[in-house]
Amino acid sequence: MKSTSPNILTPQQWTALDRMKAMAFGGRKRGTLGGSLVSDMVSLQKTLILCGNCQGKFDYRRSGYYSVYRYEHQPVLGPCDVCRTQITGNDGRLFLHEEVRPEAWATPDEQKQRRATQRQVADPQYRRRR
Amino acid sequence: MSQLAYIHSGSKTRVQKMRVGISVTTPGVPVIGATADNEGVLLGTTTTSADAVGMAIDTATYNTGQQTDSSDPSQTVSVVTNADAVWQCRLSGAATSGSALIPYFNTAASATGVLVTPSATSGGSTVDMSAVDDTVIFCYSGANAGLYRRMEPADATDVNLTQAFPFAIAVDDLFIVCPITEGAVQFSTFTTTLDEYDALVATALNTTPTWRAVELVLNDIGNNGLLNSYVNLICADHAFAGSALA
Repeated sequence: MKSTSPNILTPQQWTALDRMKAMAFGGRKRGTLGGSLVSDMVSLQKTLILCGNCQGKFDYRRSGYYSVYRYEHQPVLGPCDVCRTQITGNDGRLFLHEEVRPEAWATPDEQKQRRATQRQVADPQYRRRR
Repeated sequence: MSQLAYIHSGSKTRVQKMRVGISVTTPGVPVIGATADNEGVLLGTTTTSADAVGMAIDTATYNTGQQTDSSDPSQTVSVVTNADAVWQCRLSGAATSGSALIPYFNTAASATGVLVTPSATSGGSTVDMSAVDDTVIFCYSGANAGLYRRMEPADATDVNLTQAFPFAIAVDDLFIVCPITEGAVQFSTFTTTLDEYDALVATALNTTPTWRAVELVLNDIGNNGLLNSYVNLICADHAFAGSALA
């Protein structure tokens, strides 16, 4: 049976100010879905900043990302890439692509390994006690 | 490779997406604020990063024309903007990233541990270290491995040490010269790709260093220090720090 329901169109009333805001830098552009943006950023191996509300929807393991909070318990400040909220508390999460991370972020394990023979400098007496 | 090691003050990391005025093809490189007639942040140079806004932690392509898929030609790069971020840079033995540091053989024994006679080859002629006075000489292998001292080159033939190594220095003990000290003298610059620190001894004194060493992470032969030594740097001329070098 053919539907007789009319299409109800409620066009958004964008103001000039809205359009100006959309042109300014500030993360996701108006009209772009957050999920699509994240998907695009993942394909470009871009770094992601997600707020407490948005991070649960991002499967960083499946996308091949390193979660700074998961492994270092370190929150991040900055604008959420999805909802554009300025994160000021402790719920911001930084995700680095696994191929980018080694070039820009030293993990605690890496730093520990690099100081493996540094103990002798910090404690000259270490040599004699060994 | 210059990686974020830690935030010096212990605060949270702040990351900003910044529009680029130049393509950033390598993560972990210093970026500076936009100058006249530039769309966005630019790359630092090998010797200086005045008005740095931080380090890039991903990549971006700089476009000028409209894109065929109608996407925005403007791209952003993620930048750690903490003024007190400390970056761990691998020490490179040449201007090319990935170069091993140069080990120097000691050619004459020093029972008192106060004299090093560095040579590029075992028993070879001594290398003149007078250009890198007051920087660091690090024992890579031998009884003093893992320790470093300030260099005081007397002439082109040997290096005096004001403070003795704890043990005698034997012939063919290996040393690394690290021409940089914590917070002070700096003969090093970034490599041409801006992602490592060029510790080649022949490098001239960097008279406009905007990066200061916070600490040296030097490793001896037990931890492959020729390819595995680092310097932790902090930016001394940061656009958001409210202070700049004269």
